[in-house]
Amino acid sequence: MARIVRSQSHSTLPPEHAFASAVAVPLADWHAKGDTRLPLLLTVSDSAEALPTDLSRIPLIVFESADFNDGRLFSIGRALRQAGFSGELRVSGDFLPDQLQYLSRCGFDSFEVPDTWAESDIEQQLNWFSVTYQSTPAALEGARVE
Amino acid sequence: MYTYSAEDRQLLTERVAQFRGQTDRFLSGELSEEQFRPLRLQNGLYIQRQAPMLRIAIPYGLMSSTQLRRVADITRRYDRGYAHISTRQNIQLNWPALEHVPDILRDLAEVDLHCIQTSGNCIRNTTTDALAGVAVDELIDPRPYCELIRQWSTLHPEFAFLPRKFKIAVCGSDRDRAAIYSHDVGIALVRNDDGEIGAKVIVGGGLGRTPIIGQEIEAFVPIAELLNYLESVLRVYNLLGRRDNKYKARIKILVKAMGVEAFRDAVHAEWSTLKGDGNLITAQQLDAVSAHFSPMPYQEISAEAADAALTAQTSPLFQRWLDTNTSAHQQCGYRAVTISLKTPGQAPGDITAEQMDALADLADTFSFGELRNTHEQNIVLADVAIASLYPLWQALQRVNLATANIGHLTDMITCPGGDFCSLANARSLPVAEAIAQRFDDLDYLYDLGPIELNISGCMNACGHHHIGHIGILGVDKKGEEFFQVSLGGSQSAPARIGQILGPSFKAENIPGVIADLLQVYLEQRQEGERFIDTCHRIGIEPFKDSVYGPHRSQSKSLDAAA
Repeated sequence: MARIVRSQSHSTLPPEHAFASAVAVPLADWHAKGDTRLPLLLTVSDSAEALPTDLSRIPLIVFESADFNDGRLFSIGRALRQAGFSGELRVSGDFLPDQLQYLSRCGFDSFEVPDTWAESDIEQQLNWFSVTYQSTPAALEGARVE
Repeated sequence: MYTYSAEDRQLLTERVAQFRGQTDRFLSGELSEEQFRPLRLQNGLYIQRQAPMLRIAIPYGLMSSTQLRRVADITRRYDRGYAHISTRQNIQLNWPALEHVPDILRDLAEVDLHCIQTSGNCIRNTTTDALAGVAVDELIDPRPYCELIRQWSTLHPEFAFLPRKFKIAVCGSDRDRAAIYSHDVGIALVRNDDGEIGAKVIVGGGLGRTPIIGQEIEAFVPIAELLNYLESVLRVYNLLGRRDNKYKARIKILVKAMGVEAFRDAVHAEWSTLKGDGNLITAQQLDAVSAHFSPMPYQEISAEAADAALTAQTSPLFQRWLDTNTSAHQQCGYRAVTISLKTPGQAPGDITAEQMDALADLADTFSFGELRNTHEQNIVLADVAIASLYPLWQALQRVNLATANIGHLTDMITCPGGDFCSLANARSLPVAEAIAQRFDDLDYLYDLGPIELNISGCMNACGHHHIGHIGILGVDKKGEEFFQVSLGGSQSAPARIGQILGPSFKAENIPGVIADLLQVYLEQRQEGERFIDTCHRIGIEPFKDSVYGPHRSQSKSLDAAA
């Protein structure tokens, strides 16, 4: 199931949402702290070479999108899943409801959305297309929202 | 041709509903102009100078008579009764209203047509040889591979927001008729020593502001891995391509910056994670898709019968059309017919609703109900029995579609230019018309032999001027339209970017300048030498002299801008 996180209302979240985006640690700090169980915050400017080599103990990676037109996060999501990341992969920041299904097909399973987005619209967008032409890489099978 | 399955139709229905919802949200103010822009572009909708422009995808140029009739119908109901064939084998409507677009998409979907990914920063329509499946120099029919690429690239979740547009062309013949060296990725289908099919992959070609001939990145990708390989190329591009400057955002700039070896290494690193998995093409899949492109139910026609049918027709006009507008076919007794959309008085590549209806009927009568758009902006009936050529030609004459100039000077590639396009610096259509008027003497045209003349209204190069034997580019100089001329470009064997002749000219001087260039060729050509070969043999200087030198003709007042 997709996890919907409300930008403005973390307090109402059930306990399994304990890792809110706000506590995710930027990549440089994350390396400095040396704790592989800390949630990680990524942006498009983080280089692939600087990513942790062991992703297995990270519970949550939050990808902060600065511009919905910047499609790098789709490839980064897939690459993280293919590199073996099986924790929660969340997108926050600037993205469109119309991108939700693509994001979920690229390995994102958690979405930090504005309060103005209705639950029913999110569900509809996540499942808009019932037909897809591309096969899903094995690494993403478990992460698929649909 | 490929026929849609229930699943293909389901996807299209869902897409039409999606775009209707997006348009409603834009019109109600829920989506901003900025948010709506990529969504509408991915549905082929531009906001242009006069009105929106809607580009209909014709996958690898192949369409049925039913589909063409529907396009004709749509141009009558929602537009101004004509359409335009684009250099990427699509069809453009120049005058639809935004609020009608959802209905147009619905009407298109009824005949399995759509506008998916015909613009925007995504993978565009895959193009190929308009003579695919019938050309005598064909090694491998590219259409099944184009269809597999079409499916893989359609609504690919990872590649809908690329740094810039991405164009793929495929050829499977000895001679490249798909300009694969001028595309983001070009694919030449080849066989290895064991007879297995694979793809030679060319990367980083492109025209536009920075014309670059693509480089070979891989000599042989096993065909089962084609989509995984493309996915790897696209991922490297998506992650590393520049996003800070749209004029530096195409893959050609990335490949040039990285060097082709480093780019190949990055692609191989991605490919190693996808090999054997992901979008592996199985033999079963390939067979299923190939079955859609099996040969037409041809009649058995002997060579003698075919010859007899042709020699019975002695009309010199017909013979001329036969020579220029038809080409040899794999099936004995058949020829492929290219119908010229370059008739003086009509903008190059434009076709009226009546002409579309007529061609759809002719396709049904003479060519198994199928048609192909060519990247030179003409239409091909690929499977015409030789005995049918004469009645076909007569029918084409009745709808003003029998112009016998394919491959000749007046068979120009031309973008819509400043009359329609908001990007253009100059109006390319009046220049094309002036050239068509000036060089309307067919004897002269045939004596000149094959010449490719391409016109773009601006440096975005939609008219492919860089790879024209003669290229014409509209430029803006202090608010005035000028035209720069280049020489020696070639789309194939080997692909080359033309050299700029010198200072640019006013529109009215262009026909005279071209006449001078042609005169140099006529004086200098050797026996049987084509224009392009003479250009390459003697170089640009003699041509420069004729246009700018002291001996240039006195009657031509050159307002060459510095």
